[in-house]
Amino acid sequence: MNDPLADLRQRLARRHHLLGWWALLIFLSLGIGLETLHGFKIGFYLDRANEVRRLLWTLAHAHGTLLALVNIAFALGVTQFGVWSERRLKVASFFLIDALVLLPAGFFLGGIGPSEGDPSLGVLLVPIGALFLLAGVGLVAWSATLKSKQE
Amino acid sequence: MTALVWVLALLAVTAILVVPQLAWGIGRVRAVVAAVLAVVLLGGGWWLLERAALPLAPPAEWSAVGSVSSETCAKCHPDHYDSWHRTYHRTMTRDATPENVKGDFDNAVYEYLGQKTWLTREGDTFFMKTVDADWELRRAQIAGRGGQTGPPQNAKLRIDRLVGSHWVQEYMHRDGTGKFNRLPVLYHIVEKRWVHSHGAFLAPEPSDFWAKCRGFAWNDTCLYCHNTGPTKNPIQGSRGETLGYKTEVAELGISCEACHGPGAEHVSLNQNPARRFQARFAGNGDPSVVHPERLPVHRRDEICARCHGALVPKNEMWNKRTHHDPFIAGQELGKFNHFFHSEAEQHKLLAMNIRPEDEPVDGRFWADGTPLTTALEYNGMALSACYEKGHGKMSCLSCHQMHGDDPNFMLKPGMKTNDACYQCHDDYRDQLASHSRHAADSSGSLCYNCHMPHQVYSLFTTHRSHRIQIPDVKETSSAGKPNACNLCHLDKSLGWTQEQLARWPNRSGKPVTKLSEEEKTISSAVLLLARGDARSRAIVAAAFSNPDAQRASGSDWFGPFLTRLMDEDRYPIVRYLAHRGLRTAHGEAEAGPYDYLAAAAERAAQTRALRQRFDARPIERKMPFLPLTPGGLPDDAILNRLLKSRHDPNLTINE
Repeated sequence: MNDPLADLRQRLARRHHLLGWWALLIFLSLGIGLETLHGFKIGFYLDRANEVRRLLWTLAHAHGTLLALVNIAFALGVTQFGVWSERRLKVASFFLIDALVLLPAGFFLGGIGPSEGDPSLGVLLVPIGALFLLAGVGLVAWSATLKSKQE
Repeated sequence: MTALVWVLALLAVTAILVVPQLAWGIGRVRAVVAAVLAVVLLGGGWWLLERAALPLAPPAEWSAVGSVSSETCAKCHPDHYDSWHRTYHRTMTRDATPENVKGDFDNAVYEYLGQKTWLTREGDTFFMKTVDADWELRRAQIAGRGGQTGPPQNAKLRIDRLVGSHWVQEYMHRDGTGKFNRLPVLYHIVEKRWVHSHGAFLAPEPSDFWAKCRGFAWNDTCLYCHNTGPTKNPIQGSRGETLGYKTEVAELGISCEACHGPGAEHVSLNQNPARRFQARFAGNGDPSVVHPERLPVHRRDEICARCHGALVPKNEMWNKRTHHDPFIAGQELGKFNHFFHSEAEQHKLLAMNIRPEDEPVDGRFWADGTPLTTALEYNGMALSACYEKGHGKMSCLSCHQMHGDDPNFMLKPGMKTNDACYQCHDDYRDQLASHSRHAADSSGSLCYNCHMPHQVYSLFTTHRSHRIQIPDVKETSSAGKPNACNLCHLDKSLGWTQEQLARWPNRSGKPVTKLSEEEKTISSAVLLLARGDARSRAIVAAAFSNPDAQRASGSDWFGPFLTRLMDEDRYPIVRYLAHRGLRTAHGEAEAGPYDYLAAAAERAAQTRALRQRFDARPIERKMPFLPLTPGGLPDDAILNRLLKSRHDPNLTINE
């Protein structure tokens, strides 16, 4: 007999694998790009005047990579543990995916046109992404905490 | 568009992207409600921040605004901080720490007129052990009565503060009263040698070892132009005498707030991110801090004039107890200070008597009001026709920048060339040679050399005048101010120069200034060096080390003439500058040994040896304006006659 929730867990696991691994590839590539900017001493990235850009792009790389790993971990775990309702599972999934997009994108966009120590307005995506991440991780933690009827 | 609109737009776009996903999980209605709620909450939060932000306006009362340090400014303006950090403005006054001290304190010993000074370091503390000031005073008094004193008593003085870091570094010792006393030996950074203060300023050489330092307090003299936000705070006795100081500064050296005004309000207001974005989107900057380039030209230039102009405080506008400088960048400088254009005018404003022995008074201005020393550049510029008739087009910032790459003269890129003048006089670009009457690629066609010649003295050398003028022999003949032409054509007479100038367009074609026979027939440089006053002699002596002048005049005649003229000078700086001419023309080895601060007898012997060396090579080419014997050596009879007619009053340039 088909279990719709088990199907959903499988589908979401595949989706998060797909997104997580591709995101990992993208954000590791960004790291190599940043290393290259270091290697060639590119002032646009390294000058003290561009310190905010360097900080924000480094944060974009770090958050992107870390959130890609979080999504992969979710993909690995969603079929293995936790008590999920369909609704909670869908919402947690999209929160984690959106955090993966919004947080690094906010940092990256914020570093494109900084001025006098302030990032550009794109950085406003960061708090939104952070809220999604918090909510997503909260839902996962909640589901992991709940005991199933079998237990 | 305001920042709030941007924020709402961003949130809305995010919500539109997110709602379908959310709807998949919790249903469309709930998703929309959640998204609207999120937009309202986040947008509302930003709106509250914007409401809390004070409007973009200047402080209600600038004088009530507190100061912050440059380190605070660096947090948001790191590139401006860095470019300022490179400047010598920053290091005009520093505490005596290892990274700031330029002098050689590695157990160096400096001897001046038989008195030794020891320069030592113990850990991170620096010391100058030298003749005790009180002992020296007693010695001078006893010597005045014909008595004799025993061997000198020395005092080992800790160095607490430094003034200067570019050309010269002076050392200050803080005594128990809070007074920072100038020490008598300083470090000439350019020459990398210790120098007694008697050989550092354009002044006659007194016998008192401490003469240039006695009564000198950093708190009085250096404070206002070498620091930011200065408050002298003298401690006064019952009769108004100064007992000590509790001097305070916002920051040592010239830092951000000297040009941008006090920053505490700017910093406090801009902790609100919404206000920062408001200011950014407004496009006109943030008026809570002064931005010189947004000020009217005169207000902008007065920021520089605060230290690069001749000022006397308006007592009624200054706090009589604290002596805090009330001027804040962007305000009218004349509200708090009188400008003056001659030393006589300065003395009148200060109600000071002019001592007859100081005639001529001016160690700071030529007779036509052109500044003679640095730190008066604004006066020079303001007197220039370019400035007066420029309708606000010209300002200090036309050529200078405070946040550039060149800390030496703080010039904008290209401003060492004629591009500086082409900003307004572009028509001369294509007629340079015909206008200058020199080859277009020669130094004679560099606008600066003719219109801003080196007529200003300070810090062991000469600097370009900031009074932009057309060369004329009149001021040389009447007041001894060397003209641009003869500062390069050192071998030519005033008469020759006048004839050349008369051929320029818009001139009569005939000489108009009545010149003496000597002015017509003898090199102007030789005449001024022999019989001019110390101001003229210093400016001319410095010209001998100008490579352009050496090319234009040839340097083969420098040795015989300078060795005859330099050691006769009672102003050490003139001796130094003349000898510098010899060194640059003939090399250190051939022009030495010579110490311009050695005792007279030792110097005389050194000069004799040098003279013999240079006299061995008589001048063989035809030099019509040099007084030469048929044998090609200087005509001593003529030189001695000129020396005897020297006008040599006491004057002092303390720059």
